[in-house]
Amino acid sequence: MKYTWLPLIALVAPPVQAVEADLAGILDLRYSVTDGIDSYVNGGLGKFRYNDGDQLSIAQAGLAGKLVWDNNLSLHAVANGYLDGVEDGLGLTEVYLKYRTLPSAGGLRQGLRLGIFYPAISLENNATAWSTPNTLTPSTMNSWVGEELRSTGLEYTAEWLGRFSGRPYDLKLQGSVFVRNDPAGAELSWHGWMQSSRQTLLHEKLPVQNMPARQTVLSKQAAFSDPFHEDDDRPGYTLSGEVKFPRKGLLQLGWFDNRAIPYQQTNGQYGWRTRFGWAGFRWKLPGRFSLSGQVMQGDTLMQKPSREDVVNNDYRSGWLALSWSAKPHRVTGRVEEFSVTDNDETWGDNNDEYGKAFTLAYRYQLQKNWFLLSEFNWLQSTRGGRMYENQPVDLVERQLQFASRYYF
Amino acid sequence: MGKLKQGVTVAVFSSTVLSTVVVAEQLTVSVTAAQGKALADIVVFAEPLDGPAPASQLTAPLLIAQKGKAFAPYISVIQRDAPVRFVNQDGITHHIYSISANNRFSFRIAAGKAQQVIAGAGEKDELATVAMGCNIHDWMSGYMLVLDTPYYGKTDSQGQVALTVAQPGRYRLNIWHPQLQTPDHRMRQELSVTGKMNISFQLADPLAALPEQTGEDDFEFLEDY
Repeated sequence: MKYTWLPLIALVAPPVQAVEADLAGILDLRYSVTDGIDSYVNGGLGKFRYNDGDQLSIAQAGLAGKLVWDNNLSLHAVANGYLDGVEDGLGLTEVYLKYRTLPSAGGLRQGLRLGIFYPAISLENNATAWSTPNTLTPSTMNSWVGEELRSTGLEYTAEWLGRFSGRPYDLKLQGSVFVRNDPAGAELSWHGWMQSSRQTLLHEKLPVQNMPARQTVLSKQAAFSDPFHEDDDRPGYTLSGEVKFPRKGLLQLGWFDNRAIPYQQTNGQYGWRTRFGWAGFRWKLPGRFSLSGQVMQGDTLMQKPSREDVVNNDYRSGWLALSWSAKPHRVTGRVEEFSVTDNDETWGDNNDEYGKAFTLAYRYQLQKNWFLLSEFNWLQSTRGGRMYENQPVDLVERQLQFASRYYF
Repeated sequence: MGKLKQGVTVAVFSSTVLSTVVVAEQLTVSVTAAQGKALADIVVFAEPLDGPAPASQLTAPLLIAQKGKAFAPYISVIQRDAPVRFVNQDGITHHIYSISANNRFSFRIAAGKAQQVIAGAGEKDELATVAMGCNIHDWMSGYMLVLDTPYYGKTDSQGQVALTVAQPGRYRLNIWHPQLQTPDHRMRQELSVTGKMNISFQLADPLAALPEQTGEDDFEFLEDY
């Protein structure tokens, strides 16, 4: 276009800094029947958030409030509550300030987030209060993100919107610097991967499993891990990129490193040097189908002050989901594979794990805001460390869940 | 349907206002694709070459709705200095902006609310396109064409629009569409207007694909995670 873009519009509205308040929420009432062992949430080695048996629960009462100013600045706070017969809780999960520009003439939009927020990893948890719209339970990979990962810091985002320059794709690059996530990796090592919609509240501490090494080399470890603790005042970082083809799909690639000093310990909270890469995609297929998936692979290291390894684990988890939708119905099937490889020689702390999981979820939209969901979970895992608790090393856990979800 | 209705309204409006003028010349403009198929929603406007164009007679504002997370209509056309009212008919907030390099504008409109602006309070230009978007829903795309003439309309489903001009004389007749694959996204011809005339434009190339005005997902409660 060769038009000169002269001033065209004068706003009639007075130039006041208006602020707009917005409140969104989710109420998930759930009935679940679980065939398994004591939940990891209580310090057990069960892979689900519910204990063996049936349970009526408020699986999630989430509120996401924001104040939005006209100058592209907004303040966000997300609170979640759980009344689930396992670990009831109420508190904040995220609080941050966000600034986002308008796109430039070339389509570049920049953004900053400052505060406490989820690292932008999950492709499943993209609804109000970090809920999963298509399933009741996120994959093992993203369940761990919800349990042990939270960034306290600054995140920068640059997006190039393709339509401004006639390109068929949008490009996003993101980088963050964060503190207060040094013990991340402890729970993944000690209870392994799990499949759970329970997010850790910012004030919560997580029980540490009772393996024999707690009496010996891990005697200084606190009984509860504080995943959002800072040990060494050394910030970690994330770097990630995403290519999005509007209405077709997206590809993502990222790297996380908390840069914790692994031989430091304060208040019984060790630094765990946790690093991983992740990749994911989402793609629309013909016939109302869409396919999505993510993989994560990394390692975590925790040492004695003498710098000898106490826990040295590699881990990986991946999921692939096929979803079919024709309003008001949506059916999603998901398969997963996960592992933890224990590379250290520590006695009484076997973290080796291998497992597979299958999830089948059905969502029915009853009204604009009201959804009914049902979900079946099947999770098979082999974990030598379960013998410390006199539990079977090879275990299949199953769960059937029915939920009413109200979003506003 | 919304686009069509708006186009017809503008065309009817032009003739209504100008029917008070004693002498009126009528131009019926047809726009067809290369294969002869009638093209709807093409902006047609006539610029007088013999003297200044009459000022806008519009009193009621032009409405541009945000409906179903899309601009309705996709293309609006208006004369400079006339009021434009953005009406958010969705149950969610929109953040409307123009990417105009020299004059970016933006405002948030809460669900069910409206925001009024004046078209073209700035410097005059022979043709000004305002490309609009929403900073919350990136797929939303709309255009407003701000003209210095009151003689404009959009073609109907038959590819036709009738323009009534106040005076006989020389005019530059233009067609414009953001997806028209010509320089400036327009085609033009100069002509002397007397009495009733039928003018036709035929495109050499097809229109580029219209941007799809739909979101990524059928789930309404997504957040920016």
